[in-house]
Amino acid sequence: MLPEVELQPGMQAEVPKEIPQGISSKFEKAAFDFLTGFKKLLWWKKEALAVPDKLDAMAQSAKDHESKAQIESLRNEAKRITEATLTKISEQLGSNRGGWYEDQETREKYYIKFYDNPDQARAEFITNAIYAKLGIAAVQSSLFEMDGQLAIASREVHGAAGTGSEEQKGSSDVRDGFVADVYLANWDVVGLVHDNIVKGADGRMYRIDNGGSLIFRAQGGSKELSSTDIPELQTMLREEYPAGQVFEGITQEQMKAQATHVLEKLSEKDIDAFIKESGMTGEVAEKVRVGLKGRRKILAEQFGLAFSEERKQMPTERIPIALEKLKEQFERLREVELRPRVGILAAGHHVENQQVDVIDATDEGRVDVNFKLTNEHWQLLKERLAQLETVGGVRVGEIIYGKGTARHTLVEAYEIVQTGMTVKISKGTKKNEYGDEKEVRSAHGLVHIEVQMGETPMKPEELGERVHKIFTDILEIPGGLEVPDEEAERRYKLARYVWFHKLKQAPEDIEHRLVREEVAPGYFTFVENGAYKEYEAISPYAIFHAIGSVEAIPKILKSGGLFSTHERYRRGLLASGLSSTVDLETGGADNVFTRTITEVGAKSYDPGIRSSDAYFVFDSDLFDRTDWYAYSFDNYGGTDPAYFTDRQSPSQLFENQKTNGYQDANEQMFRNGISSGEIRAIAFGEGYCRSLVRRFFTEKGITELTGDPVTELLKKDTPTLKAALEKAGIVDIREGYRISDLSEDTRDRALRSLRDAGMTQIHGKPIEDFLVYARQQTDFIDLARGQEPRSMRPKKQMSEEELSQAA
Amino acid sequence: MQKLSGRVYYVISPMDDTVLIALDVGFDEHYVRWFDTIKERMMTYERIVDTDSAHFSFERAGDESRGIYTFVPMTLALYNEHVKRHVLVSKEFTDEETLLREFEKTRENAW
Repeated sequence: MLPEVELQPGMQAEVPKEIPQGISSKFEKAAFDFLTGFKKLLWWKKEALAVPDKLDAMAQSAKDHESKAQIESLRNEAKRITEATLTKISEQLGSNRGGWYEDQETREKYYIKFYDNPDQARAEFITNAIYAKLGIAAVQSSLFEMDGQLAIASREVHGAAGTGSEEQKGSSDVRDGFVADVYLANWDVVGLVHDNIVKGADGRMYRIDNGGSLIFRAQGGSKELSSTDIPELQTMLREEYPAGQVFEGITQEQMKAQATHVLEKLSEKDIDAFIKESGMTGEVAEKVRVGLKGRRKILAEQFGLAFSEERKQMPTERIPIALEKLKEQFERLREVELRPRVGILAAGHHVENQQVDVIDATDEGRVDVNFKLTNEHWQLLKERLAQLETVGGVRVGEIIYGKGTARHTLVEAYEIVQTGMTVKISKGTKKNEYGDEKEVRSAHGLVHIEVQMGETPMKPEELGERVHKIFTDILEIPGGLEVPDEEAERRYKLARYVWFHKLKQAPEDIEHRLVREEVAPGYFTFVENGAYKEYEAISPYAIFHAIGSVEAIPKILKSGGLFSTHERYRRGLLASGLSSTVDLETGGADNVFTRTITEVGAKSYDPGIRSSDAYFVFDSDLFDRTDWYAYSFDNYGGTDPAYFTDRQSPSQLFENQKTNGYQDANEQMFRNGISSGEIRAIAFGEGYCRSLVRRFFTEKGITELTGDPVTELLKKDTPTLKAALEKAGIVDIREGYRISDLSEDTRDRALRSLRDAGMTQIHGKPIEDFLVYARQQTDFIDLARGQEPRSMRPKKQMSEEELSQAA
Repeated sequence: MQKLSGRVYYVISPMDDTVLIALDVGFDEHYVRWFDTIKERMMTYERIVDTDSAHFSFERAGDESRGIYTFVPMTLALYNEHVKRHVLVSKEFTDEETLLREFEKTRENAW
């Protein structure tokens, strides 16, 4: 019986008809032909497998006996053809389940293998893909599902014959791949008895079993793929190992040439693409990604090679490219009145977060370049500017945010006026009504360059040149808008890690754990992938944010997430002029605020949720970010050095709740914004009447009402639920409470505003599933884990106390 | 959670300049909670000094302590005298109802 074959999502892409540009070698072409052929084969198989189902459906609706018989005959024929396509022709070889299969049409043979851990199949696929990219002869493989399991299929090497140690040692196919083997940590490349390399009919030597590479051992155990060292450069040359015997005598020059080849042929983008194509995700994918990328750098260091990064943009190109990218946001952001913004990675040593932002203010005839200097450089620059102010060329003005009549003077600034542009460097203070200077902490280090685009706007190239010159000449940033070099990035990572975890010194090699990621639209920061699991090990937790107005939910989702006050203001959104400016003064305005509840803290106290409350509940991996800080009480996110040193590191946050219990006024401040992609659920307090309906269904054992399951009905808005109850003739839900008492609640309003905004799904889920009821804050911990809130799980009977809590 | 009946409050705290405006003020046995036109505020109290909706005040607790916080219903006079210069875009109002409605609109922009 042929097992069912399903296509992996990545394999459903249309089979390319032409060989893509960039595929040049004979070997790469062969690999391409194989992959396209194999995809076609699987596609046809899937189509064929669908036939019996279709015929079954036809048979059911067929009226007469003759038609039924014909359909049955067709069904059997389809089954026979399908089963005949791939036939198992031999049992497993090696330690993993599998066997040889033959395609009955093409007569091609494939060795199909199943690993206990499907990620090992993915790892083998990645390794084989990298060998192919490097032009090293290895088996060509593909992933697909068989019998509900991930399988790796490797095409037979025609005329394969076993080879011995000496033959392998004399083969350039084998020896020229040594650095690739150590790079991939393919410890078992040769095999215990030299059986993992075979000679094909074409005379080439092929690596045929590469399952013991990357983070896996041949027998399935895991191993470390170090990103900071390649010990295999020595260990795989030890003469007691088969590999050491085959690669014996390889020279430093030969290894250097091979390392050069690896660096030139395999880019970081290739690594990302292969991992993605393999379907490997999460922590495992990150280990492989970090390992492979780190090892490229190590190869460069070990052999004194220039590290071939992706082509760097010229500093003067940065602004023109950003201007082009701004256009992509016009349509999406028009509705939410937020000016488009593009972040560019630049100025490694002197700019906060190494990011410079370009904001489209063409509604006022301008483009703004806005960013913050690091404190040290800002202080230095301010001193120079103060001196220049006395001799002329620099004047004191203001940085003003807003548009139209809604404008706010943020801070006083040194101004340098040039033709068509004004450079403003924040003084960090503003005078109050009594003439006293008041700190504006959110404007510390701020630089705001206004470029007039007028009737005859500057050409993008000229603008790029001039902004770059401002960086080098006025802001005294060597390299200006250059992409930060590796050393600058490494130093920034170390500084960030020390700041974030409140350490005196960074642990060795810690920079490799940090990866720069886009965490809010156009905002990049360093992320410590998987760190959240360490926090979860201390105690499960949930991060959440109280929603001020449910009518704002569509706006938040459409704009891509929650944005800090400063982010909204600098992008022109001062819609509510009567908001307080206090958070700009304390420094809290640079952040989005959240609160966190831990399971261990909530043992002593859970404040519950009011029926009018609404919350965003975030994915726990939000804590992988390294740009947040916390207080155990409401400190308004202040950054005054007098108390900023008392902020909590992540471990202190958890420790504090463990020791002192849950304090619901705790706060975490996330820089710039939180992506809407991090929202796991939107939770609402449940009204008393509605909770009575839920109880009514449970107590009466009602599972279905007017043909709908009550679990589904309870997700509907109140008018729909009410109509269903009335249709079923239910009038009273409890003494003193009638169906007519059911009225619209906060969740109903949120559903309505989302529907009015044309949104029916969030992250692919119907809005009715995404907007959920909750009764207590510990429910958020369940929601963060994708589970049903504990207090909403069906119970036989709710106590009077629970009911009054729900009320 | 007990809610105060006033729509908008002016908040005074001699030791804490992070407070100014409050909407949706409520308190339970541990916390006082309100929306400050930007975000939700929540403070643990040592004691409620005065529960009157027209003059609510509490003393902040323990480590957080920054003295007494007093909530007074917002009026045109209070706005002009104490609040106007601390809001994003200072506006002139001739009647209290328009003023209160304008403050209530800040909820819609609290992201």
